[in-house]
Amino acid sequence: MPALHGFYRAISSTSYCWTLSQWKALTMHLKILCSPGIIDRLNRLFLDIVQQEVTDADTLRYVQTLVARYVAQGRPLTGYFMVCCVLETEWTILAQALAPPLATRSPVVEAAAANKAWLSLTRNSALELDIEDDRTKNILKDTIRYAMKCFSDLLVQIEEMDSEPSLDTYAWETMSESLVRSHFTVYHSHSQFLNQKLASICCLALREIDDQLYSRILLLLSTDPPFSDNLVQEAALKATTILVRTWVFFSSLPFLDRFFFF
Amino acid sequence: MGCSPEWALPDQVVFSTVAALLRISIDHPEYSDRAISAIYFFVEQTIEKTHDSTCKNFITLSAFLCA
Repeated sequence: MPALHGFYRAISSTSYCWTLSQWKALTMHLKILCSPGIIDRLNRLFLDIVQQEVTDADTLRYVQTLVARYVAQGRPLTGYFMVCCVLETEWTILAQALAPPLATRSPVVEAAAANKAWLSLTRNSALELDIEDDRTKNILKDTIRYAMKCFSDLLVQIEEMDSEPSLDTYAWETMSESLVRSHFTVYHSHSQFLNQKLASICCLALREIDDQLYSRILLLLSTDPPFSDNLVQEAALKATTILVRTWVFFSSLPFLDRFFFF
Repeated sequence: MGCSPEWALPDQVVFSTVAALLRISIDHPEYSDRAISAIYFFVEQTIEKTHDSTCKNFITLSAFLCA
């Protein structure tokens, strides 16, 4: 996992003129990481190490220190966290395909390339990519679908969390599980944030607004959102910004008036 | 380089390698195909290892096995 984290850091901090086909190839690989089986396995990883593999105290201490260090930096090495890394990597690459960075020689700053690419999409309209083959279109559509699915999963899981008996928390003693659990909410608002970014950038690439994304943004920015989370709503606004850049008609929507009012 | 000292060694190795490959392909476009395929290969191999490697390897050695 640290290796994949290093990969994500490299992509999000190095500006590079990615192409759509390179995005496609990497997405094909990366989406395997987002399968429920792998997420589960990574979530259980530390528990498994402690329970099954480690016999000597030194290794155990090493593993615990490693995990603690990452947690201290706000990077819990869980399956959920890996999904966030994947989403962030995917949107960063696609955003740079749509808004190629002008200067690629800049000092290495964490997430510099990602931030720059997003900023550039909010200021200038996206490049019109020539998507000829249906396969690429399908992958873009699949990515949107995946992002949308995460949203509905979240709603279900929030309901489950609410109904869970509080006694259950005592069962979550092990480092691994409490780690996964304590980052559950953070992960979800973060992954929603990234999912919306990714889905809206896919829409830009396809040059068509996905109906589901559109109604989701409307829902999140409405007076009665299904849940109130600053990060998720911020993402909805950010997604709106880049979509408005490309589609002027979008800005005539009633909900935007409410925000411009403030 | 921007490697924060707090990251584990495999993390730093992959970060530096991938960032360097991207920089090579910026400065020498003639090598960019090879540099980018090396990145694909790394991702592919690492993900493959999530299926079969032991748990401990997954947080410690996997970067070196594929680098």
